[in-house]
Amino acid sequence: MAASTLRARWGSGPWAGTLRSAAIGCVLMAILMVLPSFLSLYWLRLLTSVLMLAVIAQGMNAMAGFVGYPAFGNVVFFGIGAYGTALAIAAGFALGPALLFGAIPAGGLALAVGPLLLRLRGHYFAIATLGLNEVVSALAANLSGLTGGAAGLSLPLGAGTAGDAAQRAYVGFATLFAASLLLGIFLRDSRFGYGCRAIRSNEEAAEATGVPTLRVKSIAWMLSALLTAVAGGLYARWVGFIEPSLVFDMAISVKAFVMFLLGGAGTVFGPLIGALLIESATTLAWSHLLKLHLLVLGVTIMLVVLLLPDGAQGFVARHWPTVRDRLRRRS
Amino acid sequence: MLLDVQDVSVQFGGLRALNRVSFGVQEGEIVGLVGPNGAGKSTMVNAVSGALGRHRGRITFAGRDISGLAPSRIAEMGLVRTFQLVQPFRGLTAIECVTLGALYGSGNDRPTSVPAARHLAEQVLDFAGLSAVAGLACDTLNASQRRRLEIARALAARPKLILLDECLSGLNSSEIDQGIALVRAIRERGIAILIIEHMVRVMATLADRIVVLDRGEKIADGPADEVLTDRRALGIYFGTTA
Repeated sequence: MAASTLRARWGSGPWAGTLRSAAIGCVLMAILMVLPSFLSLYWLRLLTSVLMLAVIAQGMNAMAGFVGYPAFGNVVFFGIGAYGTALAIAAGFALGPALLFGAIPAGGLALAVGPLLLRLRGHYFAIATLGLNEVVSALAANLSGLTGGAAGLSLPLGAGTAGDAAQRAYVGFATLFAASLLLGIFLRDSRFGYGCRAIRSNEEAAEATGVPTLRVKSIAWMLSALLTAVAGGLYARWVGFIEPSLVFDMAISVKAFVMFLLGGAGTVFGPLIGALLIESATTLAWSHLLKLHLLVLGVTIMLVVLLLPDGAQGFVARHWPTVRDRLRRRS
Repeated sequence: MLLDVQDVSVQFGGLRALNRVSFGVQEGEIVGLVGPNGAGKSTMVNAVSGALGRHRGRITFAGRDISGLAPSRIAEMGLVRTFQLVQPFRGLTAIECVTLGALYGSGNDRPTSVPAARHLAEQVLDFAGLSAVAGLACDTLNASQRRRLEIARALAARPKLILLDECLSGLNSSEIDQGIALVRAIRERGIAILIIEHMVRVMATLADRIVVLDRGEKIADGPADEVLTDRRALGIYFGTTA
């Protein structure tokens, strides 16, 4: 089918944007399905961690990007997901049900404290979520009877070789990544998503238009928590050992924050773009400039904030029309 | 009575912003709320729309007590306001802004899908004369377009009563005429209007009834032509001792 016909059929109409994103998502998933057979174990693991970070960044994007609430301490849900899932696996549950033991407490916590913390805005909210992470992390470190405390928690090895385990982790995170794209499309195009974006843009006017702002914010945070917690659970199964300083590590939140900002806040694919760019940069810096890699990362972050305030997707959206016109004029 | 305000008082610290004010709006009626700066007009709008949170006295809308309800609940019942300082939704386009009104707003005949809401938004934008700027970002519109966008957003919320808070201030003469025509067209749809406005010309041409506030007290309430010829009310309104 010619591109113009495609555009005529899909490029307009009420669901054009949704269909386009769904189509891009399907192509991405197809690529992710065939890719493992071409990759060495090293690259497979790297891709798995990119997908994991893209999911965590999407969780951050859901709150900070779409609703405009910088949920900086979102890593708390990653930790809860990791511990809940690890404890359930240790108690003999299969991975699927075990993930629920991480996700349900995380979502429940967001719903429980959301109506309180979401009355704060801007950096006050960000600091409150940091506090939440500190509290839960301290609990995990001190309830040694349940969690093993600061010594951490080891999981029994799964069946098969190291390659099999890496394969399983990849499939798990790829599936979760698909779910994160669906969440992004939902937050952009649904009625609920309109409510979220209205809150980001002007909360008082949103409330006056009939958006039940506190409920919408709480539910959005719960969705963000569920996604992040399942990522935590898959991570626990993947690495086989967790400890509080590992899964409640603020560096995970910082990375997720930089990634969704770099990719484009409030966009569907921004978190993936950000995760790809940052992880490639980090890996390159690691392998070539071992002593300087943190410096490189730091400078990258500063450049992003200065040069791409609306992210890669926003940058392209802003400059694409000009580029397209120039190309057209030339041809 | 669609909106019934009974003995409403609001105290801000030592300042009594409203003192036992009562008035009402009938279905399909245009009521003007006038008074000098600091008279309590905006406080009244905030009390009625729920933005204030608490007040004394009783406000009923469509027969139900709405005192203390969240603004979103009040909007859902069909009482929708515009903002005096035009508050465009930054980052949303004009059509998205109006679609938002259609998706939320009043519970009556609410569109059941986003495309249906968008379709309604297109009609409302056309009605408000904004079709040409539908795809533009809200915050790039000029003053007159922003005012009309505020009205369109409220209108898409399918209100029974629309609260227009100084929706024509800062506009030039021909833009005001367009605004007046728009408000009239809204009334023809059977929507009651409570309009807060400084300009006597607007009030004289639009309002069926006028309520005059001064320093938190109601000092006049009656048919527009009577109130506008009342020397005392006019004197306070214009700040002269005519």
